[in-house]
Amino acid sequence: MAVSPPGGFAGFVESASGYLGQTAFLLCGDRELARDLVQEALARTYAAWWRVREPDALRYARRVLVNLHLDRVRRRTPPTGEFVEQPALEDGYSRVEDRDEVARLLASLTVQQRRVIVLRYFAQLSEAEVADCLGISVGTVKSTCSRGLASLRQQHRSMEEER
Amino acid sequence: MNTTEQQMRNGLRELAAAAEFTVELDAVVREGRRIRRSRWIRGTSVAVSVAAIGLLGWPLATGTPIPAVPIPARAPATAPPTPIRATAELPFAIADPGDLAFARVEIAAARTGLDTSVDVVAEAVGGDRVEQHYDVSGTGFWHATVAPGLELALIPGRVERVIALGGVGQAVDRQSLNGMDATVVAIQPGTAGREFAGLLWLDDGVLHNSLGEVVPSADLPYTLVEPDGPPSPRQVVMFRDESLDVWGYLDSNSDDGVARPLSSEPIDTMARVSATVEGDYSFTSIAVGFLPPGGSDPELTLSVANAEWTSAEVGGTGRIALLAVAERIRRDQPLVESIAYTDRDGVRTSYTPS
Repeated sequence: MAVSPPGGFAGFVESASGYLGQTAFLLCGDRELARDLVQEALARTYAAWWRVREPDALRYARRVLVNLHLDRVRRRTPPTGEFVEQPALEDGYSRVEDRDEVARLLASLTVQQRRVIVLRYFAQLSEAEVADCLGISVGTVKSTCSRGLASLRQQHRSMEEER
Repeated sequence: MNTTEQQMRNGLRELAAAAEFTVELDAVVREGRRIRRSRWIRGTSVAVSVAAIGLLGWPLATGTPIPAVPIPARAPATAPPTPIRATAELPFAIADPGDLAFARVEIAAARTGLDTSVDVVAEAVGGDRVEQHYDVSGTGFWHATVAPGLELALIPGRVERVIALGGVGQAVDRQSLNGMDATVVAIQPGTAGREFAGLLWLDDGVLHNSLGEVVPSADLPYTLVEPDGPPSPRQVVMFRDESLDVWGYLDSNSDDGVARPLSSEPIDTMARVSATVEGDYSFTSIAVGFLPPGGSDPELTLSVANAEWTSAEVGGTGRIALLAVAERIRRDQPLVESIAYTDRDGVRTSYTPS
């Protein structure tokens, strides 16, 4: 049985789901998990629709999405505390088998570095927006981004040398 | 932008393009409704549990988690149920009405089963009237914008204290709806352009939010001292609401309370507030704050000898709430000079509030 969403929500889902899906995929590296994350993020946005609405809805849904991803990672790793950087061995990227260089580069980052890089360079958020989305300081965004890019350069050089 | 950043940007776009999939709107809406219902039911269940435990004489102050209990099934109706009717008048009788747009709000509510009809008449300061009718399903939190600058909410239970989020200098008035086990709250946001962003309220000592969740909180006691009165015991309820992105406190003996957005500062601290100001001095000034995640063993250095501090863990979060209280302090003098604590890595750290 079809259900009728409140005004504006269907349009929001149509316009935002592609962007959210791609962001989720880059965060977790697993298409099925990305789909689950987006469905859940949109459902929670629906539950809060009375207070978020557009244009803040996308920001809200993106934040929920990132937090859901964080929850998934935490459930799979020992409780070492919030925002502690650790190798990203526990999610979909550990199963990346293809030869895509970007995927392999992303897989080499810590969870936190990947989150910052994806939000900064794919979602095109400012440093302040990334800080707001992740609940960390702008200084942490800058340092994490810097370390992430340095790691990517090093990984890239290693790949070049292997060829 | 350097080459690495541009390559990363282009590479991310190409990689993301491979992640096309369809979102099922019906499934999203069904799940969203389930989440919303479960939040309502969870809030209601906890209120019911608290009442039941109180009757059995269990000590509420133990902080023991209160289990949710199922709501009793309703007996099948053999005749059309009689509506429960209640009215409320909210005159916003506050000390400083300032620039309030509405002088008075009247509500007439009728509840039949789980459905409530609400008629609202709002009288603007200039004499204009706004009339609205709402049909509300369910007995959980409900909210509507009656007119620009006037929000109305129905809250399950008898609300002891309430904080509205989103405005500055706002006015809140509330009244219980007799027989309905509900409270009606009217809010006039004080700052133009600021939107209503939710409510927090105390019901039987339990803090709830407008998403239907129980909000982690801690009670910290202090003594109120005023120039011309006897000391009296008080307490603040400190909270962190990750869902509504706010932290702050409520005074459980008055309508004082402040909510601030969660920040990315190492320690959340709030400028002190005072019960009374006389000449150059403030009496019973309090300052509140939270240690960062994993922080422990706080030690506060205070600027006056008549000041004290205390701390408590906010249940379920592992965060330590701090409360500093000065009996008497110069109005322009900071109360907390520094906060020392052990961080999550076991390193002793000192923080100076700005």
